[in-house]
Amino acid sequence: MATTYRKSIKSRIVQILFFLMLALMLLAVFLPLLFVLNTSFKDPVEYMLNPVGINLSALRPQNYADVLNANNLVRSMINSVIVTGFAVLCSVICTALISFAIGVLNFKGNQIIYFIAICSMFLAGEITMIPMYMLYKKLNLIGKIWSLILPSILGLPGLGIMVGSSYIRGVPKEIHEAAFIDGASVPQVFFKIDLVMLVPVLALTAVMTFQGNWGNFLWPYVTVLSNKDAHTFAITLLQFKSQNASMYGQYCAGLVIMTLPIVIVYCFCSKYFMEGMAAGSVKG
Amino acid sequence: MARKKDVLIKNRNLWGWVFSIQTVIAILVTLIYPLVYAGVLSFTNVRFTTVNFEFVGFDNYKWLFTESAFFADLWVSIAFAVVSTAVQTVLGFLLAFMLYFMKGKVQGFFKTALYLPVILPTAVVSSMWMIILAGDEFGVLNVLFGLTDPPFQWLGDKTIAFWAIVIINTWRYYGITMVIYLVNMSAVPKEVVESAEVEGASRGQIMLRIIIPLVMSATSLNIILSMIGGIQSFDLFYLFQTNGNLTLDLTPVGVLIFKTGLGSTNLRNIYLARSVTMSIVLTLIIATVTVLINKVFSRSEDK
Repeated sequence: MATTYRKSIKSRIVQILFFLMLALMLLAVFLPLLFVLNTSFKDPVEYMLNPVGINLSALRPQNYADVLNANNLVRSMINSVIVTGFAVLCSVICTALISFAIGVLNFKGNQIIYFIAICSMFLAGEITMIPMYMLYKKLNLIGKIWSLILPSILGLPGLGIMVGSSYIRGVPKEIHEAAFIDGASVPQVFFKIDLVMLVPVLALTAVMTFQGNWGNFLWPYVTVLSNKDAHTFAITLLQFKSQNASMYGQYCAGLVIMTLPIVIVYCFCSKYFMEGMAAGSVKG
Repeated sequence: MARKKDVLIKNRNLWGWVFSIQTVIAILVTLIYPLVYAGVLSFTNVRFTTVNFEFVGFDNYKWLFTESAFFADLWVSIAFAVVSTAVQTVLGFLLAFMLYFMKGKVQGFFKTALYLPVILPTAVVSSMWMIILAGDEFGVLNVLFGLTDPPFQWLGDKTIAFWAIVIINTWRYYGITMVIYLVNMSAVPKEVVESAEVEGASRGQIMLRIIIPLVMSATSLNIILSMIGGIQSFDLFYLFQTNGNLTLDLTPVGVLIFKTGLGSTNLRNIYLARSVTMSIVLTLIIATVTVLINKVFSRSEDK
């Protein structure tokens, strides 16, 4: 009895220690984010005097209005919403359809598609950038928002395809067999059975695609820099910083505005998202 | 069984391709076409300012192996990848191990919150850290450490900047490593760990004797992912160099490729063909590294 008692105390102490270390880590990770949030409510002079201090009596929500009124920010935000919206929608549809095709239909050639999709994840991104740039130049789309929308429509969600297909393959065969024996058509099985089961994977794809497109500056920098009307949020914000070096408050307000949508989406579907991650990483 | 199931579905192949149309188009347009075209371009002298180009054989490859900074910068990338992978794997593992002992909602909360940096947009991550590391008297680190007179250049020194970016990169991506580990640890039966604890095993022993051997596949996946990410990584370096005074001594090969190509600020200095050639060689190197790591781990698992 005595030994069990001692052990449980010891393991309880270790348990509390683990909890405290996790809490400490969380604080350390969030500190830079809290700094940005704090700065977004500061006026420039206050920041110059004390960049890290917290002064609750001098909160300045005006920064948010100011940065939104700054030239072009709303316009570029709408552009980012359009581009990201298309990207998320198309990658989710693509993931759902191809996961079903590979996982259930097992058609001739599915292995090739699966293999190519996986390989695409390991490519250095720059390798396709110049050929695609030259293609869009030939199509006379450089400087136009279509040079951003088309790639987001044509995106290849490699991770989603990998996770989704193996997820569906892991489903007990009897479920699909029973449906087909009952005379269900292929689209019926897709919509009634697999689409529902794929929700975690689709959430994973959606969040990843959202993340990849929402803050993306590279491709937009290359293609639409010359045309202000087609700028994305990231480009406008980076330009705002280089033109208004001392406007820390407004700049950080812009960063908060840029961060909020993805954090909201993430929190909203974090349960499904984590299930999707689980589905993806067990198989490896 | 499989055959029976296949017979049940009428026009299996036709439906398969119907459901694949979108993916096939995406593969053809955004993958096959640019890859083939990149291969062709690497044998030309195409530049930005000229419309026409001609074939020059292996000139670009010769240039890459003899004159370019490719291999010097590749070493920066590889050093960065190795160090970040080590740091990230250890940190991710320890966090996952601690999370493993947390129950239900506590685990869920920490997992979701600790993963958050992964989903932040690149522009936000780089901007935020640029303000923190700024080399003027308002830089957050300079204020905190009283280094304002004269302001300390955190990104001005090659070694310090290297470690600063390792830390930022770890901050940004450890969540992926952590979750992959945690998922694999959760597959370890709780009874095994509990009976070991009853027998008097400490958590350190549980970690070394039970958990680490059982999550080897997660370790190999994590190392591959961080190595690939590390060798490819260039967005932070590029943004820090163009907007944040990062020393040019610390140029990973990804930045070299981008700056030789479309990322150059001087249109006359854009050598598209050279940029493409370097990206092809880099992709081959990454593929080799991936295969090698896979081999090492599959061999150690056999033993």
